[in-house]
Amino acid sequence: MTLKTRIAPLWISSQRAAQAQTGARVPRIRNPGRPGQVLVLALALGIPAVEAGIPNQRIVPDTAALSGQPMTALPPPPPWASGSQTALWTVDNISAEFRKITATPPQIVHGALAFVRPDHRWLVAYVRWFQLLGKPLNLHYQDELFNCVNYSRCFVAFADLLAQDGGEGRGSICVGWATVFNRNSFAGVPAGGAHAIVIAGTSEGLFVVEPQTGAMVALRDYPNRDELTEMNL
Amino acid sequence: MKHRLVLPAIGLLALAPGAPGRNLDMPEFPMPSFVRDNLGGMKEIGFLKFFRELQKGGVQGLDEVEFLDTGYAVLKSDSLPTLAAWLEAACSSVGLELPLARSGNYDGTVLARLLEVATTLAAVREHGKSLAMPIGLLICRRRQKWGDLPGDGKRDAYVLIETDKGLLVYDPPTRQLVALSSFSNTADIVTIQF
Repeated sequence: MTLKTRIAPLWISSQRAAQAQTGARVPRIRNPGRPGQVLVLALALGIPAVEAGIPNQRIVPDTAALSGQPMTALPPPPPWASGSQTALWTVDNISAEFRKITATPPQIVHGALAFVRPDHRWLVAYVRWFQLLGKPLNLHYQDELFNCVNYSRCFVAFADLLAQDGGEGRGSICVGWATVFNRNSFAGVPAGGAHAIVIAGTSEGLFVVEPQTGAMVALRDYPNRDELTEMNL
Repeated sequence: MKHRLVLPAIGLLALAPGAPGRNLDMPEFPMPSFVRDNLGGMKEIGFLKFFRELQKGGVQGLDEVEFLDTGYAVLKSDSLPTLAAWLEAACSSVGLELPLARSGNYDGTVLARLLEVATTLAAVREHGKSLAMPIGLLICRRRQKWGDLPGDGKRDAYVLIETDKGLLVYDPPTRQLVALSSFSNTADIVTIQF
């Protein structure tokens, strides 16, 4: 099975440009645009002065639009299970775990400050369940619309939902999507190019999941563990 | 006597990780309406246009802005009430009442991601054109008051949506919506991600 894995690298930083000159692969997809560059760009585009936008208001949810709509029924998911009372990891804890395994830990983008680690067995069951969604949700790779980033975000979004459904009240869970330079092939994804995967902090440590195939390994066994650029929680 | 032992055992099995429970029923993923171009096709904007919109919105530090796709659709702002209704219904289906969400351990990142994923899945379902959904994430320090939200310096996350009325910031629990250019915490943005 051939998997498409490309995500679009949009801006090339000086670091990446230097790598490009030396023939090395470009590992980062974060937009490294600099204010100075952007200012020049803005002037070139003829950007007007800041416009006054719509004032603060409230959305009134259109519940009538949902009435009569069919429900999406998904297969029975595994019941949520978190680890022990030590299940919470702060962002610093997660960074420290990365540093135990790689000298190049990824930047962590986060909205919350601490995250609940799922029980490892739950994650194994959830990975299996996520593979069952392919048919009812018509999941298949499409450039831009449903690529490796979307697969990974979808995996994380459903994991969050199941934790919420399981009554998890301590916060969002330690399952995030990550960007990586795919220096080595993994789980059927060929080497080369930028890629997105899932990283989960479980009761047994950090694990990597390829959501397109369901492959899962401990981060220490992931061949691209030194090429991670960012984890998004 | 045996039944006393067997029944609790069955209960434990049902709670064990990996044992399936009931179906997960969610409201059908919402297909937003899109802005059309002059030829009737879906209007597409690239990241350069996004940069322009962010500049117009007053975002100065663009180092932490990320675009992971090259082409994005543009939503009609009149579809936002439907998206908001879907988000509230989806949360309710898993036991989370959005208006009360901040009374617990709230993480707006989860909701921004869920809305983007849901609209993407709707587009996949309807064999939509291969354009990324313009629903992103904005993380900031909440230093300035925004409507119901205090200016207490806490980290917070909102949904950022590109629409025919420009980039709009949406906070699902309070239902507040404001143009990015009128958003009170623009100077304290930590991350914008599409």
